[in-house]
Amino acid sequence: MIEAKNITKKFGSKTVLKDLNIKVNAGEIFCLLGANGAGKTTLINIFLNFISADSGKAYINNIDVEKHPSDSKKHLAYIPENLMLYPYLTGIENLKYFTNLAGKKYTKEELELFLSEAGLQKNYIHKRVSVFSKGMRQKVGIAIALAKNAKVLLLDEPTSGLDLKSAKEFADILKKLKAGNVAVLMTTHDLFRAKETGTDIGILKDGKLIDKFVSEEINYDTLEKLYINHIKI
Amino acid sequence: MLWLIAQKELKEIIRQGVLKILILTVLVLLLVSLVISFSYNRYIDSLHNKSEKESREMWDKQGDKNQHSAAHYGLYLLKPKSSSALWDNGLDRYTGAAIFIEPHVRNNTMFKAVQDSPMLAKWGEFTPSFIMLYILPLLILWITFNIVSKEREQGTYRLLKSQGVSSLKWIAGKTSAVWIITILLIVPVFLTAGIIFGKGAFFTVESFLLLLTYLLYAGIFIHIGIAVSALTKKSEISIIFLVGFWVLTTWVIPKITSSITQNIYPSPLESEFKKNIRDEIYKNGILRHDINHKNTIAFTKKVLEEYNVNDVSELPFNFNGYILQAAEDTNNIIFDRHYAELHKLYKKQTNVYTVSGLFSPFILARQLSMGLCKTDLWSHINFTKATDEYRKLFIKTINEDLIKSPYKPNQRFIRSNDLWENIPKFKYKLPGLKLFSEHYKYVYAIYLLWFLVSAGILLFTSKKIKF
Repeated sequence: MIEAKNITKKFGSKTVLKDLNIKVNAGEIFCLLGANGAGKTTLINIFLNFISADSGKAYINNIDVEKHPSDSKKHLAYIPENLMLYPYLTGIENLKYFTNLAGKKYTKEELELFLSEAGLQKNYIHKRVSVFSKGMRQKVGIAIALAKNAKVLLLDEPTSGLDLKSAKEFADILKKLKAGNVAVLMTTHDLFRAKETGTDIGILKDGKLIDKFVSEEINYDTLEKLYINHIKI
Repeated sequence: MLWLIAQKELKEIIRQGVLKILILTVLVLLLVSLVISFSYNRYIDSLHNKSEKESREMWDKQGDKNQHSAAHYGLYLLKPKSSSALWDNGLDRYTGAAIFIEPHVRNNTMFKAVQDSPMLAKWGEFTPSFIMLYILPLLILWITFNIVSKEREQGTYRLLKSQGVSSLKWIAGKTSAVWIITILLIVPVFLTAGIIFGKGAFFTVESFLLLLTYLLYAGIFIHIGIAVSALTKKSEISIIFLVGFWVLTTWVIPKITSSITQNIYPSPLESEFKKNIRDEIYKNGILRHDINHKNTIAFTKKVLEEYNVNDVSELPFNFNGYILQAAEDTNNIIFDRHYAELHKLYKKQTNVYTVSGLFSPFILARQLSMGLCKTDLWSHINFTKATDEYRKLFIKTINEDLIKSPYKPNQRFIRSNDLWENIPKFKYKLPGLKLFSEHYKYVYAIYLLWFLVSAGILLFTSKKIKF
């Protein structure tokens, strides 16, 4: 479960998040839409405890991220917009490194299985990441989340810059994770993917959650119109 | 977790082509310098042994002669090299390797290698210590300059932090990896060189202290390199800062220190130093070969009065031998005082170096390296003092024989090989740890301080960096 309670964050005189409240339960995918500078990445950074909120609380699986950063991180996986891995290590070595850091130990076969589940082609598993495309690196990121058995997934514009095929594959994997009761918070500009994969959709503007919908209750065209209107205002 | 991070770093370092080539290059340079140094030292050793043996044989077999004439025939004493001199030739090229001992005068060392070298060789020597003190730090700086900053630049640190890795463990893992590479590069070479080139004599406390000195020196660069990489946002800034640190500490500060030292405590010119001694001996000493000198006349008169005789031929001993030894005893006091003053000056100069070591670990490492290899100034002085003690004994033995010989005016008493052969041989043992601790205890203390401060800076940085 992911929860933001009355979070406010300022950078200098600029308020980036204003009294923000969000809750994502297990088995839900919350897609947070918003223009650049709306505060989406700031919110993710607060959940990761990379930065602290000025007021309010952030919880991962009911653990206060600021009070117990290490504990909260045990339950989450994070995939940024441009996931960077170690170029001199292979896909499986990167996966092994990050899962070991998270305290998980797997056999080579198990690691290969996670990468396959994440959709990485078999012939790339033992290749150096330096030859990987962005989509392939994102898949290693998903494999890390799978291997970590994370109950919370934080995604910061993960499909940005992916080709259609890779974006589709990514969305399919998210659906699988949702089915596995993972709570997903995904920031994105991609309305189509938000509608397709999200269970809930929120629109963030100037640090405020100005609108929120249940994905099934809104069609794509209406969502698009609403989003454009909100962005314009 | 520490080992996990270190393992990953090692894997990355080993897989980077440029780094792999650089590490291998340093290893090859180190091995080549060891072979060159070993060949050179072996050549010098054999030359010394041969020369000392020949000089002694010529002394022993010089045939029938007057004792004093024989003493003027003289003897060459050669400075032995320690087995650890393999690593650092130190000042040996400048201080010279041999001393010619003879009556009346305390000679300086001669046969300075630097005088015989071609011009290009005067730029510096390709020794293992050159690799350890100049080149190895560069390699370490190349490994460390972006070890942290690149993770910020490429964005991997966000993923790392999301795994709950603490910055302290992260930096400690990286530091361990660079330490492992450094240790793997230095220690096996050091031990192998000791076994192959040192013939067992190498494994002494001094040689292990030397190994520790080189490791601590490398450690200072490891800590500073990683700390700078962690503190700078861009790798370009990190490398500029670190190369600047290397240039400043290994070239600029030592040169400035040398100039400052020479200005504060200028060394006398050799000609000036010898002239001062000569002048004082002329004034206060006894000049046996100048019978008309006032001090010689006064001494002769004093002896005649003491024994209540009118002529030296009436004395119960050979006056020629007596005055020669009296001249030695008197003049040696003058020599000893001048040399003691010179050594005091050297001590003051090295104190300036030690203090400047607060700004440059290189200055300290260089001093310690030479000290432990026994190629430093104090080891050289130890040798020259030993040769002078031997010279005093050597001349005294001959003079005492002459004193016992019958005195015949205008006729020189002749002795043969049995006397020359009975003069004890010069036996010199290289100084041990006592001399090293006497001159370098503060140097090592400041050196350890450098290491601890660098480790402290790294620890502080590890805790404070925005991960």
